[in-house]
Amino acid sequence: MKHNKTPLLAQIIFIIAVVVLWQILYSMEIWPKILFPSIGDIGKALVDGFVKRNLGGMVLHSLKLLLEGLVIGLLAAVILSSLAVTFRPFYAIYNMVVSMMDLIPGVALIPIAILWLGIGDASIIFMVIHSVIWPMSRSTIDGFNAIPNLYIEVGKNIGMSRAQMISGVFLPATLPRIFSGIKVGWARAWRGLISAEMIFGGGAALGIGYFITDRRTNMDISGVFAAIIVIIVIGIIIEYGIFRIIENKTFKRWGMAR
Amino acid sequence: MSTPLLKIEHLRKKYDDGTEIIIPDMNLDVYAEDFLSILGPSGCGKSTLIRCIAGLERFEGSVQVDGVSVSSPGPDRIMVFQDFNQLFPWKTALQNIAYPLKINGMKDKAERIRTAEEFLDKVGLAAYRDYYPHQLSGGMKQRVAIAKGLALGSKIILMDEPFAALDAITRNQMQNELLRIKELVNMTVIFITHNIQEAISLGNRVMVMSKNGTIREHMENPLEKPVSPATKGYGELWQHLNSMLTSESQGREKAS
Repeated sequence: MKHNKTPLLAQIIFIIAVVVLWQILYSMEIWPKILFPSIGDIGKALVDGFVKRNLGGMVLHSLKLLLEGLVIGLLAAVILSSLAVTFRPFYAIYNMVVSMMDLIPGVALIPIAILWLGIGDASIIFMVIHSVIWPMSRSTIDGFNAIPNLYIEVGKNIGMSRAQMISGVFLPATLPRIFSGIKVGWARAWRGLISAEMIFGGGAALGIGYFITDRRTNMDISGVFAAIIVIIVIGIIIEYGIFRIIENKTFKRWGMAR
Repeated sequence: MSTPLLKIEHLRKKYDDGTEIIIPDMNLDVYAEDFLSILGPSGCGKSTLIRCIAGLERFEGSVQVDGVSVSSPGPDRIMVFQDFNQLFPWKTALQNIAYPLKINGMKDKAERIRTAEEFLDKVGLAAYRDYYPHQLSGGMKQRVAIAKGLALGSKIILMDEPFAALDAITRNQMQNELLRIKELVNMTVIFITHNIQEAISLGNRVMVMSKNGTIREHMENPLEKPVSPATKGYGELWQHLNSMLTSESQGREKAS
């Protein structure tokens, strides 16, 4: 594990350097303070956000919607991709649908979401599902198609049915690809969710995106930066905490990826 | 021993596009507890033959196991492939043996584990039960694959050059190991190889295929086990089989 410490140290030094540089730029007073706050102001806004403005509650609200959308999107992608590799006509159709839908930016669907589902949680979940289902389906189908023929022959040889093959061979063999789909999908979903909350700007959509819009309208640039830091920290926790752990316990342990 | 365990009648196999005939008309009987080594030059259709028996290829004619006609894969004919990656990488050695038992209706988990442990022990890998395939050597992986077939109670174990990718020393070990397992468990084996030493060390019957997909020779192995180059008659048998194989490959070169 020794070789893991050097990059971590480099990363920490880099972050400290950015913070110090920021503070130097601030103290040189090149830009007005209202546009370029000090590190201390951002820190204070961060504390204020959690203590006075329910930032914690908003973050949890956003994360809950993200999780719901991710789970629905993931399950739908896996089920539809499984159907696609089972029925050839559906494969052709679904492949085309994935290619078309994947091109639509989530933001472009916001007007439709508002009109159909209203300003609220349903629209946010809709956005998350849209962000995650297409890249997930793409990597799942690609993964299914790349499964070594040998596994399929071994599966048939031991008498596995079609359904058993899907759950017992196709899914575990494709796990690394499904996972890379989740990684691409979740980041898109997280961005889409925050965009949608900012555009909704209130109503029943009171998540971290709303917090940013609210701080901006109050000309509280420190608060906006504080929210951005929270977004980054959450991303890093999910990427390095949750995803890493799952990877290490599954396909990395199986020797299917380095 | 009057009825064969495996009966192949008029098996005919063409390439999928129908242009070239690989096996024109094969008739073959294999009896229970036989160990049939099949030798042949590369491209003679010996792999195709064993894949037809396994049900992994479509064919014309009939293949019967215990009097029942088979045309699709099934656990009564477990195949041990040459490729070491035939184990599922997401399952441990033990799980690779226990999972097929579950698929085939062994409902009690404790029983599955007990059976898998028993056969892991038979192939000498009891200590490796919780290892994942990527942590095992090539020879170990092949032993797990054999144990899987034995645990399933497979009627015939089909082996398609299972040791061909191993180094010479491991290969010898694996041959001895296979003979030891054969003594332990009454199994019927069809063993494809291009190695004469391997064929006559392992098989109680030896078959040679011609490059046109026909049987050139099918004989009882007269040598007493354990077979070594010092065994009486080894040289003559080796010469006999070798001359058939070399005349085959010379013929092939002239033709091409």
